[in-house]
Amino acid sequence: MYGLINIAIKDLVTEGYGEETWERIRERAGLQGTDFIQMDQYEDSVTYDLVGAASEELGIPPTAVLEAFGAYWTKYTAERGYGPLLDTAGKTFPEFLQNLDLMHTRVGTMFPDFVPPSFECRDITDHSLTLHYTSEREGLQHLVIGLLHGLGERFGIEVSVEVAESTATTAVFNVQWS
Amino acid sequence: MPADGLSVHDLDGPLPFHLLLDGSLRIESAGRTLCKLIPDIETTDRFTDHFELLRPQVDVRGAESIDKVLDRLILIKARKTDLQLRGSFWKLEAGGYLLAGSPLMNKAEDIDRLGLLMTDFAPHDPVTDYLFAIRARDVTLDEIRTASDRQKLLTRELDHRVKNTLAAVLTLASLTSGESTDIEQFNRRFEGRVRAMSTAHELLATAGWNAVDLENMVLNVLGGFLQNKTSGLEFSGEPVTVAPRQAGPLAMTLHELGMNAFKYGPWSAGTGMISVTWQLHQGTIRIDWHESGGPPIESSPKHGIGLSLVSGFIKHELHGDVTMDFDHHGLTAAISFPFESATI
Repeated sequence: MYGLINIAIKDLVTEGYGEETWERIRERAGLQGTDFIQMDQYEDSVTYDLVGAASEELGIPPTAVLEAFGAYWTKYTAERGYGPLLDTAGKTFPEFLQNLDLMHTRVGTMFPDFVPPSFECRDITDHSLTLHYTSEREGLQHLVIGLLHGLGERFGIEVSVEVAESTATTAVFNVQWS
Repeated sequence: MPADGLSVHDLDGPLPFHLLLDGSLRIESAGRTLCKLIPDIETTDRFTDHFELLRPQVDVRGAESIDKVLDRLILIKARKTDLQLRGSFWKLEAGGYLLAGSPLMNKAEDIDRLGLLMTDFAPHDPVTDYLFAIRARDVTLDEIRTASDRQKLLTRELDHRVKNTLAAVLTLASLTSGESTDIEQFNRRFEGRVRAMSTAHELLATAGWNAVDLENMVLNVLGGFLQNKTSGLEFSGEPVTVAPRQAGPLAMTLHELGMNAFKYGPWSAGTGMISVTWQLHQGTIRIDWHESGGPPIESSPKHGIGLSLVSGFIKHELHGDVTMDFDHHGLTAAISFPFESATI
């Protein structure tokens, strides 16, 4: 995964729990230095190890860590200089979701090593849709749930997410918003 | 009609910024996104009512002006806004011209400024990809600038530390000389102290001048006294790191305590035990040192240079506290100092 993901995990932990907690998580994950470069590629195991270590250190399930990270990700990328790119994906929550796949495709074309997840919106109404998610990586569905809540925050709305179907690499989410 | 079976509306998907002109340069159709940006475009308006040709610099007076720039990269500007389009004119077999182009943009903010989304562009249009790449470049440049600043800081810090280290070596040489009775004793003690400094440096270098793992430090500094024996030392504690600035003084502290144990305490007899435990609580690192099984101590010994150095390192370098109590079994020391983040 790109370094930006690992930097975001570090910043999420230090913002929420302080530098000491991050140092313990870093140690637990077996990482010596964490001077990640945003645009550089790192083994997926680095990210998974950090999530596992955060889960153990904070005493919360890995799924909760992923959800927290997903919710943080939207805000984080906007603050890290990618806000204008997010602006181009939609002015409303449903519009953004419907362009989520296009945005990931565009990012994927820029970075040949980037293997983006795929998103498809179906059954769209004024206040709901089903989001069909597919990834080459396993076990990241809860990150998407967090991401949806983070997007709700971005657009100032309440979002509820229900997992309708799930496999290791796919999921269908019933998404509703007010 | 641009081609048999192809209506002007069919151009909207692949060419949302297009202009279709007749032979007299009147607008027959304009792309959906172009109409969004210039809402007052009407069919039958003249091309020159809304646009001027910036490059190549040609004064557009009629079809022959367009013929001069066919198949070339052109830049046109909207007369009433700051919108510029880059693209090219194509002469159609059925008569008239097709201008295919995209807005000239330099930053991602331009899309939002014009009230557009990425879906207002044709999927194959690389303009948004280009803006994504520009943004990625800007973010990377910021990261490089930050790294460069950090590198300069690191160099300054390193310079500072080398000077401090050399000063410390001179002081240690002087102190060690004062406490040594002969040259062999001086060599042994001085070498031990310099080795402790060297260990701290190696740990720091391995960690990329970031925080050093406390367990690693205990093992590396005290392990040398045990000469590969597994008994004689117990240590445990949660994962805790010490900041680069703290690594040297703490390594020296552990060395002096170890040396004291080696000369007078549990390690002098070869049968005693030292227990080192640590914890991080509310921003303070606490290290407990407990000796047992050494030669009996009848009364509190006078602090030699080694233990005075310990007090000095903890109080003046680590800004912490230390208590050292001797009982019949040996030394019990409690060291505490503030946790500092890894950043230099």
